[in-house]
Amino acid sequence: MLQTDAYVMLSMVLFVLGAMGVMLRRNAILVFMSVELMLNAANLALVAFARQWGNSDGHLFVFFVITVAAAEVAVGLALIVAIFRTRRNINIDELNQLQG
Amino acid sequence: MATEVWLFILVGAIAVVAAVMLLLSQNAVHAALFLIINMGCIAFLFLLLNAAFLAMVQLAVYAGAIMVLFLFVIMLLGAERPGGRSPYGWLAPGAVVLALIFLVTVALALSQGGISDLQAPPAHPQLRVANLAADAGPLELRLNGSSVGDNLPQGSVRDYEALPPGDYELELRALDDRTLLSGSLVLEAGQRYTALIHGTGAPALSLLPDLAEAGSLRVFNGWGEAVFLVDFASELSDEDTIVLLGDVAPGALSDPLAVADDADFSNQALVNELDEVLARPGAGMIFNAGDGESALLVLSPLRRFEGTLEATVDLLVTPSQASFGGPADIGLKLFNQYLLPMQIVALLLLVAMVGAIVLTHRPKVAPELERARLGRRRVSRPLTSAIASQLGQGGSGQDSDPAALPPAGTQER
Amino acid sequence: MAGYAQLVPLIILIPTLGALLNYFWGARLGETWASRVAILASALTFVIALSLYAGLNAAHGQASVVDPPLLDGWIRIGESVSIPWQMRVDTLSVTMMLFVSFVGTLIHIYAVGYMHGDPRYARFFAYINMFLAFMFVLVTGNNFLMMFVGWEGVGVCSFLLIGFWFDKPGGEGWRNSNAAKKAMIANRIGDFGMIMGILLMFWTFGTLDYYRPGEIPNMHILEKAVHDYELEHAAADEQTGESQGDDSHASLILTSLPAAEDKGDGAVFPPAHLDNEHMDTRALGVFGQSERLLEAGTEVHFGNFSLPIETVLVLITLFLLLGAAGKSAQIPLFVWLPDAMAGPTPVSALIHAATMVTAGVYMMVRSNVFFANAPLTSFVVTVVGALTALVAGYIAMGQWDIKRVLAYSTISQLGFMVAAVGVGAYGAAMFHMVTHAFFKALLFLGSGSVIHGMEHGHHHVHHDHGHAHEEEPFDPQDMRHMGGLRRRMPITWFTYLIGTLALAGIIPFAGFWSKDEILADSWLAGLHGKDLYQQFGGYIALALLLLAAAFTAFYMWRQMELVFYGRTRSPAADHAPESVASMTVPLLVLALFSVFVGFVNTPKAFLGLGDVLGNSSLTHFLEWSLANVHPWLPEGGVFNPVIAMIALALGLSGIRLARMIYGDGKALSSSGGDPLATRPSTGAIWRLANARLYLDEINVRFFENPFNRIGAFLADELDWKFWHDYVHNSVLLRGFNSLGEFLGRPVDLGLVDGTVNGVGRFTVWLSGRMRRVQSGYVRMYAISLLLGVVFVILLLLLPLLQT
Repeated sequence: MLQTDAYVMLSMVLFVLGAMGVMLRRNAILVFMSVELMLNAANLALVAFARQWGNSDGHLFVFFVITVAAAEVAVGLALIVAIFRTRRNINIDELNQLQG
Repeated sequence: MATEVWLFILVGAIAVVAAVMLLLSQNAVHAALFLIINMGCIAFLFLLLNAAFLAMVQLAVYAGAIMVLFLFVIMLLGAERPGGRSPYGWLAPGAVVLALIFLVTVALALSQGGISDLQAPPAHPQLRVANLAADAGPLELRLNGSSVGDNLPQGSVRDYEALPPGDYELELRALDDRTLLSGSLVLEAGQRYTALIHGTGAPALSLLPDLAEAGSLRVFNGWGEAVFLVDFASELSDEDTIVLLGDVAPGALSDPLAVADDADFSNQALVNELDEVLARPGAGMIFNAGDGESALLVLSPLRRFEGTLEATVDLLVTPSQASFGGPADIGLKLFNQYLLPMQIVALLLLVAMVGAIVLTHRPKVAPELERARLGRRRVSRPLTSAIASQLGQGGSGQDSDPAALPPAGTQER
Repeated sequence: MAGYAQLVPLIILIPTLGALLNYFWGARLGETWASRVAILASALTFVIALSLYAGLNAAHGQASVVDPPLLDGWIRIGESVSIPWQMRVDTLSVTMMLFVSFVGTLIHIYAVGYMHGDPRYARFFAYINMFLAFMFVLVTGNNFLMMFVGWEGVGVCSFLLIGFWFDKPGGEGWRNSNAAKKAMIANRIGDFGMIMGILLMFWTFGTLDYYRPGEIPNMHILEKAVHDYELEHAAADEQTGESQGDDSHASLILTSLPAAEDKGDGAVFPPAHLDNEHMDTRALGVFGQSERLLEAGTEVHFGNFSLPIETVLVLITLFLLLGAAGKSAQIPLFVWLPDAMAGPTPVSALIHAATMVTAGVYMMVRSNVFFANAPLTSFVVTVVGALTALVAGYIAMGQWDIKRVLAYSTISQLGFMVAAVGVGAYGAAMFHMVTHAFFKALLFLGSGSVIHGMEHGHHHVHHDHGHAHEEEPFDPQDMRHMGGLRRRMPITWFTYLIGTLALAGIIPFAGFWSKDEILADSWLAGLHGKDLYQQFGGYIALALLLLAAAFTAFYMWRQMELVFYGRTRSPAADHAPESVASMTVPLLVLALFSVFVGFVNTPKAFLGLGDVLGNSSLTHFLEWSLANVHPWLPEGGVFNPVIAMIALALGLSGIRLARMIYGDGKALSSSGGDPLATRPSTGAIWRLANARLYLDEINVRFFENPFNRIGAFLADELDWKFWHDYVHNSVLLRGFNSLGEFLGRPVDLGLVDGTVNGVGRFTVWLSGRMRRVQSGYVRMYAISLLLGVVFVILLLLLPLLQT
């Protein structure tokens, strides 16, 4: 059986790539997609650890993460649509009205 | 093993490449497609990790529903390439450096942590109690002083109960708190046991480890003489009678017998050495070997009203344990341990649905008109007219300072 | 029979409900319904009292103790203090309940007519209902604290009712409210004694219950009753046994004597025990305990010192005497009662006859065990009572106000009762209380009828003459304006005459029997008293009370002459009409009772009437509750023909004397004064009586003025000049100012303000720097987040990296 280390390492790489996406991309939708990638990476780690421990609680967590992600996507995309309607733009660098 | 490694390397590489492409692609549609590839790869990795159910969910929900939503929004907005330049030039290299530091840190932690050396603790042993004693009446079984089966009537079986592994002091009590039997027993981790109370007169207790193999059948002989489990294909002749399990001594447990999936006990009987039928399990006793169940057939005496003993047979079925990561396993946990979180998450989904509708709902009235309407209502007409009349009347009084209350017209906006 | 006593909470509850109803909705009910509610409530209490009496008779006079439902205990502090809200139904309390409710009901009916047209009509009925309710609390309680609740309650009600006309014009309202205050304050002094007595009792005995449930107050009478009962049943059994044959004889005896089943309220006859020996000393009530402690000669410890139980009992009884002197208007606290005439006449009747003033005597009779065991106090009680009787009778001879004469008469008669308690004649005291309740209520209501008639006559005269201007001051209570009312008010005259004869102690009216019993008991106490105190007290009481009885006859007949005989002396008296039926009917009923109520306790020895009228029935009835009805007296009641003759002769001669002086149109002297005042030989005596022995003046000079002076000194000199001017200004003000100066300038302005302003400035500076962090660029935030994550992970990894 392949060691859990490998899966966790892969998960970390994907997580970092997602994080870089969040930090580098200016398109709000792409930022959002990068967040999904990060969630996926975390899911992978969870499932890998679940196998390691022989405990399916990790699977349940992944299940919940997917569910919450679905809710998050619904609301997030609705927000993006709403923002696009008023601003005609979804470049997050220009969405800085809430600065202090 | 080699296959798994190769598959992992291949699929993992595809996932990483797709993620990098997601990061780099300028077109949002392309990025979404790369993300779908990435998710498919992760679903495959779930399969490798014994998480078949989650793999299906990942494909259906993520790659299916969510990504379709993404593509839909991208198409709807038509904003694949946001233009302009970032105000922070140092942001991109800074982010890359930071991400690398993070990666190095985590890799360091992984190498030091020794995750693969961690082992799961074995599961707790499980014990069930069956009272098949002929004369004892309702009983109570106590382990280390705490009751595991209280007021257990004759002929009943208590369901499995998880106990910590270890040595136990055993005490069997009658209803009037008389101690009928005492002794000790050892429960080992990961095992399932049946504590079988049997015998005539003073009851005896046998601790039988239950077999995990699907379809195995064993016979426990609580009767006073050796018994055989026979199968007679026809009722009429004795010639084609097959001895399935032979010569089970009194108080002994037979070797396991493999049973076909659809076995029932319509043709079997328990006989003694003289071929006298002691008891017949009958067609009603069924266990599903195909579902991973195994069973224990117990022959025990039963005291009739007139005082004679009669052999009866009981079938104690050991249900299978759900396989790790399967839908049954997840479902069982979801509806037992995680019912409340699941309901909260369901509520969250409902709220998200309503929220999405509210957020994207376009009000019918134009915002300018709405703002104008709100502005007018800020100061009500009667109030302003009242103030105006007050000012008009009290203008000669010394208290009313004209500067303190502006004219009514300036109250608006 | 069983459970009849459970009715007793209702006797409090019903008038309370009536009072609440009238208090809150009386204005809406209107006069008719307000009075009906009040009268119904009052009449129901009489019905309850009657049924309690019937039940008590069925229970062979045995007392019951009732724990009212919903009142589980009352005061309970831990294990040691437990004062339950228990009600006691025994012969004493039922006697009180009977006459209080009966007389009270008649007064209610009378008030319908008397108070007609008053603006606060319903409020009046609410108050008198409340008065009755508190009186019942007082008499039905099974402990001294409940008695005290009723005691204070009747005090409050008397305050409200005496000052009921506080809003009368022309200074009269002011006088009325002053009279109410006077009653309240005089009673406070008595209440101080009462509460001290109660506290001392509680310290000594650890309880306040009179008797615990199941305890037997008077064992001798119980033994006798059980003996009689068994004899009676044995006789009955023999008869039935003979008719049924010999076989069933034995079993019939067993069944015909019903087994005593314990219902917990002690109403079982025959009871399980014929004495209290089975009860622990601490489980007994105060009276049972006091006798046990006396037997044992216990010392009572008060912190550093201890007193023998005899001394403690004397102290307790002296305190109780002070309480009784306040409530029952004895020397020196009787000053409030004549002023209490300021209230409406039904109130005066209620206070004097039934409710308020009887409380003190009732309390002393209830505490008879204490008084019997405190000879010194008994002697003091005798002297106080007899002196009060004499002094009040003397003062009554010189009064002009019709109600004031009656008020002093009440004080005098209360003195009789208290003196009876003093000589140990508790039964006689109760007897006199009962008879006095009837004829004094009669007299007061009669005087109210006269006053009412006078007022109407006055209005009539002025209405006829068409005087539109304000009326000249006219006192309808002044007997100088009356005279000759016999023809104008025949029913009132007739009933008043009966009341007068009853009060004067003329045979066969009620007062004769009760007064004679007190006198006879005093004589016996002097003769057979168990110690010198008692003997001496008995003779003193006999002498003073005989004199007081003569006074009584004299002043009452003086009043008769002034009010009803002779010529009319004012136009108002010429036109005074007879009162309405709602007023005269109670008068007639009370007159009837004033004639006959004395027969409830007629002694057997009197002309053999005992066979017809019963042998001292009331005394024997009371014996169930009182351990000491008359401890040294022989069986068969008290009657001493010699003393009775002397008393009767004195009474008759008093009347004769009054007739001689005031009769035949000589009611007033030519100058409009009293005939006695004009004679040089009697003028000084009369003026002293008229001035009420200058008691009010003495009070003013020796108590009120010094008190006021001390108060003025404390207020003006000590409080204002010294405390306010000196201490406040120089010490407190200057010290406060200098301290404030110090705290204000260096501390507050320098340190506190500096710190606070510094914090504010620093915050402004810091936030100006920090606001730049909030750029609004999401990606900046993401980087900061990841930076934080890396930092935290490194922190967690630090121990791992060190190895």
